[in-house]
Amino acid sequence: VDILQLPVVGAVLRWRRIRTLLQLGMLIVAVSIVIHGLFGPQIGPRNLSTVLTSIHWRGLLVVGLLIAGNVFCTACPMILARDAARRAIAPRLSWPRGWRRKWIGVGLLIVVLFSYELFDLWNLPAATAWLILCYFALAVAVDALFKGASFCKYVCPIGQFNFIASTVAPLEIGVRSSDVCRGCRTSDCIKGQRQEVQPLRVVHRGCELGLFVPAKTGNLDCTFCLDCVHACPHDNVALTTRLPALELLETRRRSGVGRLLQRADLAALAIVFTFGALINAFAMTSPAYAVERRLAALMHVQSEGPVLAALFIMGLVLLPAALLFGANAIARLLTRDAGANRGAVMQFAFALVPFGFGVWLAHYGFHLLTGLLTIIPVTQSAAIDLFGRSVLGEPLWGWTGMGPGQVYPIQLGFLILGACGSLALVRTASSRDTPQRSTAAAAPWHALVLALFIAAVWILNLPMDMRGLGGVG
Amino acid sequence: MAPEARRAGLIAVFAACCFAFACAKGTSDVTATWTLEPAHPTTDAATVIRVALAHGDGSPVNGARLRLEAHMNHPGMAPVVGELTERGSGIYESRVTLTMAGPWMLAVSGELPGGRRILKQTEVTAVQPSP
Repeated sequence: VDILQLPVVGAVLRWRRIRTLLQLGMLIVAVSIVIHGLFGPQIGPRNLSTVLTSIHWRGLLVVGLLIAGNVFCTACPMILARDAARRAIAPRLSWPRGWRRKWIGVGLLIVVLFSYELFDLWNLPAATAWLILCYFALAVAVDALFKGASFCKYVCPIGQFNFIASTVAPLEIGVRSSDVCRGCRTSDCIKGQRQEVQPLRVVHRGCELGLFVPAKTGNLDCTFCLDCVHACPHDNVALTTRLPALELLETRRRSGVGRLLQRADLAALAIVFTFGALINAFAMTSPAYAVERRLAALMHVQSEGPVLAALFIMGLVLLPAALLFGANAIARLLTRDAGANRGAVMQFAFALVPFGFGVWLAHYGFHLLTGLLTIIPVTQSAAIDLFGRSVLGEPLWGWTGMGPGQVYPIQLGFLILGACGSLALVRTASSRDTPQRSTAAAAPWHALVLALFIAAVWILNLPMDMRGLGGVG
Repeated sequence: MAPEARRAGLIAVFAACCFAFACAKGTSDVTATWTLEPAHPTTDAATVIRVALAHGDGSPVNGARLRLEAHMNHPGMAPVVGELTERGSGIYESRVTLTMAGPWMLAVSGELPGGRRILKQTEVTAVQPSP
């Protein structure tokens, strides 16, 4: 189904100003977050800055990915700021060839996850506001220097999270008819359209992330900006429904990405995405606190930083390496295959993405559903902070959301959905790559997915402890 | 409206909001002293929370209409809210049960005599789980 051809929804999405409108909405939210974060009360649950980012933005981001795709990147207000800056400063440089991988973005994603736990950012409104300001400044600085969407493609940690998560989304940009593309001589979908009389003036922007729609596969690096839709003179770009996650098994060369199995940086992103989901959820529980105390005693340190760093190294490097290479070694033993195994490890690292997404959904979905209505009393409270009197009424602090017990089955459903997706991908990849001994080849990987699923359910059942640890000694 | 005028208008609104928020925090001449009983609260028993309000010259703040909010330090959790009863000499008291282990933020908000808003806060570092 081509969503762009649907009545009403299609017309709205094809409207040229829709992205700007969404970005303006998000910019207003970002400005509110920054103002209240900097000048409002420094109490996390009472400040728009921390409530909107920790509860609503994160939750709606993963729900958007589940039901449509990378919609946050579509509405990203940083691009609006960048476009405004580019009116004054035109970028002249190309992103350095040696940096055209995701390593910077993956590194920054780890830094964001680590900082969130270390500094308890959920309870620091001013720090959250400064983080957002720094984000805007970085986006503007990078894209004022470098052409295209260099910040989105190579730097933005939220973007990298969204790109890998959008591989399990149900919608994808593609072509309506390949024949039309074969007859196309202008390639406006990637180059953009320029005015004939003033060739320097862009009428419709092409894909800034270097995705040539006829050769594009999957959602990696696609921000759903719909620039290609507006630029195509043949109206041949579609937003189609598809089977989620199947693109993770695609071995063909992708426009702007290359072959998935030759991209160690993307495999690393998949690993950080999957295991980071477990760490992020585990870190909110009481046993995590106990583990940290024990580690602190073992390491003879007082502060949380080194302990958390050790946990992250274990959770994002050592444990994934042991599990992935261990499963691969067992698979090779079972199939008596002594061939190269790097590709297999990478393939199955990508196959874990649906499970990782299930964990993010279960975690962020929990906060969204249990805290959905908190935006009402917090907005009322912000109005009091702003006007000095209760213009929106006294805050209704009793308004929160669903009870944790009601949300638990939904969380479990997300985990099961994610695990089933990963199990199916493992099965399909094994059947394709080892047709004679596919069951044996898949067995250790199926066992790994099930073990991770059990770990996730265990984490879900742990008592929560909203830690605000300055030290653990 | 011209783009320059629109931009100037947006900057003016932004500056006005910042100014208004900054002004709204102007109760720094009133101090709050917090007392908890027991000093280390647990999730299975009520905690008596007392807050003593005083003017800058040390005189007690009487006749304020106040409310106590106890928030977990993660957004999205249901806060515990209680009315603060005046006990005299600028002391206000409430009895609440902090329902989850971990750190909490206590905030007292309301109106001082004369209608000025007040917001004071403190942190309870670790509420202990029930044994």
